Amino acid sequence: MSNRQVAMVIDLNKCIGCQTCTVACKTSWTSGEGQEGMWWNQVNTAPGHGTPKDWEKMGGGFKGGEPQKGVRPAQGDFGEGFELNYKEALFEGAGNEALKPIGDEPQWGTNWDEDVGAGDYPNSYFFYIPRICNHCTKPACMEACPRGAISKREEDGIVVIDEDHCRGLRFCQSACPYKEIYYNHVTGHAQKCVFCLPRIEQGVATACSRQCPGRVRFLGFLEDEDGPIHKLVNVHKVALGLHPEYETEPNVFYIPPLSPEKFDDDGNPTGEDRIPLEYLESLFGPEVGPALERIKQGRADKQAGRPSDLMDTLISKNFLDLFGPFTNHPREIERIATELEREPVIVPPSIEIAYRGPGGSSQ
Amino acid sequence: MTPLERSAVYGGFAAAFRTADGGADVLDEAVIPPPSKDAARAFMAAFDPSISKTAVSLHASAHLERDQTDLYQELIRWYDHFGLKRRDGGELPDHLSVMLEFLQFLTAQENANAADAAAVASLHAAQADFVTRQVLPLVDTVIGKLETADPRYHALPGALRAFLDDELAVLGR
Amino acid sequence: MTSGLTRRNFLKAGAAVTASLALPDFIAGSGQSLTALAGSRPRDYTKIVDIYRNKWTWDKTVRGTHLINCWYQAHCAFDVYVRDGIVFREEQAADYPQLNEDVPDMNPRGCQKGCSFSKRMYEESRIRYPLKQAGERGSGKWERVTWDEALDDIADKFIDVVTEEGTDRVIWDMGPDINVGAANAGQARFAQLTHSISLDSNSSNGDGHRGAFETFGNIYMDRSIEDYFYSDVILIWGSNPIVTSIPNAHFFTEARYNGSEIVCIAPDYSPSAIKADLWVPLAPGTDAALALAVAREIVFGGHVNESFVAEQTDLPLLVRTDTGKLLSEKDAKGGRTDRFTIMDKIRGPMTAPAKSLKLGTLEPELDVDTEIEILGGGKIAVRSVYSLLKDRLDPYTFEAASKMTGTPVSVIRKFANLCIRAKALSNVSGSSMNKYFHGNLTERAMILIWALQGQMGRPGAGYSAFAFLANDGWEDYVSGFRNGDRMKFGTDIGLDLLTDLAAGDTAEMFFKKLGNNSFKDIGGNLPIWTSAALFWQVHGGVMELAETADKWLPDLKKPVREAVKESLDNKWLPLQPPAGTDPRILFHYCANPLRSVRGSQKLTEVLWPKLKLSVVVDFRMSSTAQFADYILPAAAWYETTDHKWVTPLVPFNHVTNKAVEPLGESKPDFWIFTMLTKHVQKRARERGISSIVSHLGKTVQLDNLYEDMTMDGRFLEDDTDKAAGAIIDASSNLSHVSWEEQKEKGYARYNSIGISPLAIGNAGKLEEGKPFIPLTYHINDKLPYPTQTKRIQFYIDNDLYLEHDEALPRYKAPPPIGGEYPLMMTGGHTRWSIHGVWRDNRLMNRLNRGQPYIMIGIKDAADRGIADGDWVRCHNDVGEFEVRVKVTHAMRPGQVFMYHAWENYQFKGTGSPREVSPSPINPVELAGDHAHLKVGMLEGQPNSFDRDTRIEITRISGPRVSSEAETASSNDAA
Repeated sequence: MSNRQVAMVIDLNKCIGCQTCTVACKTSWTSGEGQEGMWWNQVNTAPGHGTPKDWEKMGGGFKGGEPQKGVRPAQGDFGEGFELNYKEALFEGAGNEALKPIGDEPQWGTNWDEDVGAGDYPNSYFFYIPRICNHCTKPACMEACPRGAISKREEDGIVVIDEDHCRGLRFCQSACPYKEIYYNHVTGHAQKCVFCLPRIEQGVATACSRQCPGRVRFLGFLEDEDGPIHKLVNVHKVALGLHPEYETEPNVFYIPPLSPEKFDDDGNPTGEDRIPLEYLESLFGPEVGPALERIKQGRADKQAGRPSDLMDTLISKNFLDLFGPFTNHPREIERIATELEREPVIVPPSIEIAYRGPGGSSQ
Repeated sequence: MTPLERSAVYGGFAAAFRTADGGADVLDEAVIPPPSKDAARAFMAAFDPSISKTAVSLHASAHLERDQTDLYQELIRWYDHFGLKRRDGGELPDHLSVMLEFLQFLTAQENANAADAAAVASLHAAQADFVTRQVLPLVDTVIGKLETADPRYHALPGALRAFLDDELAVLGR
Repeated sequence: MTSGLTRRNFLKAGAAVTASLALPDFIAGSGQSLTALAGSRPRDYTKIVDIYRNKWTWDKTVRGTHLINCWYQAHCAFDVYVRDGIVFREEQAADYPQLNEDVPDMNPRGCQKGCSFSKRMYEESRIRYPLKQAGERGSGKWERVTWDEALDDIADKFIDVVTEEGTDRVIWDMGPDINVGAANAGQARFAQLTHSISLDSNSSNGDGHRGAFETFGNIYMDRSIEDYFYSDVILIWGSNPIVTSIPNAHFFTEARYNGSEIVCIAPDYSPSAIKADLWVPLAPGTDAALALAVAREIVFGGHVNESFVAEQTDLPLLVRTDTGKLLSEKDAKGGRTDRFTIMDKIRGPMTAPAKSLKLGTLEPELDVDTEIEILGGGKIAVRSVYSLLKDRLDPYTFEAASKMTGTPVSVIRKFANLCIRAKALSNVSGSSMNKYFHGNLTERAMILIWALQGQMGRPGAGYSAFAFLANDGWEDYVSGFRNGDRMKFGTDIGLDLLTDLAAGDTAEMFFKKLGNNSFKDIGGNLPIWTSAALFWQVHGGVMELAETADKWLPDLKKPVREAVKESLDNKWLPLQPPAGTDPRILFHYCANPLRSVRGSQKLTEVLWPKLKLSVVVDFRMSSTAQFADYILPAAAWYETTDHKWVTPLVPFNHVTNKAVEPLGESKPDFWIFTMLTKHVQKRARERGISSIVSHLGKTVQLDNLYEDMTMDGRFLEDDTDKAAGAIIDASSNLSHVSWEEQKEKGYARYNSIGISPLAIGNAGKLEEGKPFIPLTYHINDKLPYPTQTKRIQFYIDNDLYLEHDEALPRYKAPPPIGGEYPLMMTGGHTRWSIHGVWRDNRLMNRLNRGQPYIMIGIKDAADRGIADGDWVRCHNDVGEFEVRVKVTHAMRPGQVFMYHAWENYQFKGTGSPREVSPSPINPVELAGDHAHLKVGMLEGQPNSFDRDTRIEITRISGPRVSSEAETASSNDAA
């Protein structure tokens, strides 16, 4: 058990689906070989298939404390890191060849469902939901690994995979109910979000948090009673874990989304939220309705000129107030290690095996 | 060959993969034909994919499904370990000629440290690892994809491959 | 070495073998010589893991930004992390100060595109050295040439054209990288010194905000982003800020938490609609009907702010019912034709004040319908604009508007009540409305909601149109600092401006007119501009696509071609070179018209064959670059030091510092333009040509061009940084922070809107600790507006407007442009690129679908047997293109949606969405014989339209995946 738990609250009312977090994570962590289609952070449009495709149907986690069987996602479920045929399309004359992914046309990608949503027009609805590893209090992946390669750090509760011990058996992929573990087919290791450990250790907010222009993510220790996480999760009770039924006790929490009012059959406004409550309950459990009411009450207080600590916390006028103790500036600390400075030292595999063969630029 | 001669040959190859007429003053004409009259055009036709359909890039990243800067970082770690820094405005670190310059340097350093067995062992290990891990795969890819008609640019990667084979044999790989 | 192995001898006999070492691409990290480094003992190495044990540190971080026109979402300060002359990463600096404690701070500004530009700049599509087209244009037979070869050849062709055919045959096509900094100054100074023509692309892009221009005489008005925190009702209307204003978006979501209500008006359930409290779904192009219904409710419901409209608007002005013209002072009682008449409650007809909006003792009657005596005796019937407006609004009941918009009465009523109940009403500016054929009418109708209620000039209240804020030293630089005292600009400016100034023009009017002079053929100290939309229509052949426009446009009074000819013949709108005078050289300065111009397929067919030279200055391969004769490689934004204009939304000048040397042989824009003058001068001297007479009848000195360009050596080709600093030093609104400080910090807040014609229209104070609110000089300080009536003007008595029944705002249904087809193809800016610049980026494409797609609703797709991911043909009377389909729940039935800026080369063959958008000119936008409907900088020009485009969609096949794809398509063919 960890002494304290670092946690995150993600505000779905502020998330704009821009994927800056995805890119910040990608450029910091998964630029290496075998990681082309790997997104430790992703933003899905919900409702939707999600990433990996239909992950919510793949099981895992616990039920009544018993580990549940899960399905291991196939590589293609995560979407491909397709390459584009730059040379043919750009430099060999106009109309020669369209710039497009090499090989078969992609049929899936991490953001394939962008803005697709659900509902019948004009009662269409959707929202954006960023996801990372939940750094669960009871990690199903850790329990499932026969090599003991997955551990939960005592000092901050971050769940890490020791690549020296990992043999790529991939039980963790099946066990994780959130399907947030990836398999690197080049190195043969399971890999996942490390909660920007080298940044966190130096008091710098995670890349996905600090680089988020929507100011969506709150950071801190769950136990820190003055921090925003504790306030939102335990005091105001508006931040909820995703799919609590899996019993892993996730440490990433979500502020559920408000939505424009719904129309009746004649198109008249009804005053009700258009996102069906049953759908939100299927994601966040039965507490989501009361949480939304508390958020609406906060807005009503503001409109009436009454104070609202909840709204002030959610707004966080000062950017750094989002990040609890992690307010150091990455430019000003001695070094910002995001890429490869982790122990044990990981050497990427020889570039030899990744070279495409002669003439292998297409198909 | 002495380390100094090997260094000169690396330098010759580096120059030959940098510009059309590079390396002609160093490399043996019996192995590598001298530049033709229209060398500049032929060089680009062979190695510059931005202007020729059939050209093969000398940048390793062009052949890899790996983020360029991730590869740059690996190469810069190599160069940095031996005290080298990229010259402002120089070629990008994954170009074949830059890799060969690095080997030109390592062999020159071997020459200067010939009396220090430990130093020579370090340099030999580095040369062998670098050639195996970084240079040979690129050279083989270039050879595999090359479609030039010009005999010089046809011969050049082949000669380099032969030289590297000799090198690895000398280095005990 | 005594290996004992037989080795081939790779070393040439007699080759120099020396221990001294020089390497082209390396230096010693320690600062010693390479020879010395080689002589030192190496660090131990046993296996590869050793190199990974070394600490990875950055050589430096510098402040950078991206000198691209992201417009509403610009700009963002970044830290750029450099190692070994390579940019490895960037992260938002995120250290902007909080404006005051009422509002959130702006941190961290930056989106996913900015956060990965370091990846983009090293991609394969980067142009690394000058390229020359060796085959036919578009053939892709590129030849690498040296800068000297390229510049000499370009210089020779330039000299040929200007000596044989005239300086107006040389055209500068300006793209989204215009920065109003050193790069842009290099281009502009070249153009100004040689009297070549620069294209004003704003209206060609469909961003001209014509309705605001007609109403305010000015399109430049936007607030600072924090001001939304003071709004209790925010309308997202004609914009999609959740997608297109990524760093600004949190102000809307946070304002909502703060109690503000957000309303989104859009046909589709857009990414911005999801953040609203009320979404008003309406048929595309019917927004004017909605706005007029709200205006009707304001007027007939007794919600008009009478003192505001009496003072600030033309509503009390009298109109002659016989001619439909505004009653001038001259007609009324003798006097000036540019003064107008109100009906004073006590004194009867009186001249409306013009030098100030202050009414003094005047008490104008609003609702006037009477007869008055006029000069020379006789009576005429007059009505006030307000009286006419009441008649105009009367039919727009909620029920009528419901039929026009396809929106239930209850939704319209709820929306109207929100607009009326609002304490501080704001809108989020975008440019979508303007891309509808009748978008000007829509914008005028929308402005009524604000003006009738006096919802302007206060914190959180006001209409936002076009966002632009710039330094005002740039024009000084371009003129070679010959302007000296800005108020004295020399005789070139036109004495009439100074006369007008003496007669009561405000500074705003003076500087705006000064900008207008750029379009006149007087050859002043500023570059000569012309309307890009007109240029592409007339010279580019785009007009030919609208030959059948009378079929689509029921109220056209004459064919579009004749309407254009009438305007050009009457010099209502200037065009340079004039029709019939073929352009010969096109310099595309980071511009990409073959991608961006609606109907661009005509350009390669009509215009390109006339060209002797097409030169693209860019850092990437664009659709236009594929058809160029030369591509000159520009430095990327981390490879040069410069700064860029912004918007009032974020009133901070932003600076990018040179972090690394330009890749390959690429060069900063300023270097390129300066070196071009050097080569023109050199070739002119070698060819014995000293000077020529320009098309303006003035001398252009070719053999001294470089000396003139550099101001006699003051700013040489390598002096981008110095030139950028000189512009700052010359700026009244930025010189309070030194250039060196700005470089170090990365940004500096403007201390005023300055006097640039590109910003002065914002007409408000930029104060410390307060949000910026536009138009307060008019609303609070009572300075007249730069319009015909000196007021916010809803009545346009120009003959074209009278003829088309558009003197007052009204609703006209969106015409079926492209033919009678069932689907309306709307569009908008994308998350995934700024213009075309990231469209070919690997990372953005992986987060997208990797290929262009068109969005269609569930039912429209099902009706056509189309499934998600299928290939379809989109077609109408004008053209067709093939694309994949994305089926969504968000589209309105009858609407399909194409995000913009896909490059032509991302479509199979040559078909692209531009080919179905013929974009006929709206004849009222050809007006010119009017006091304020005149061509000006980024305003007053005809726009391009694509939102009314009608198409049908037909399924071709499923996704193309190896053998199945063939099966699918052969089934289809059967």
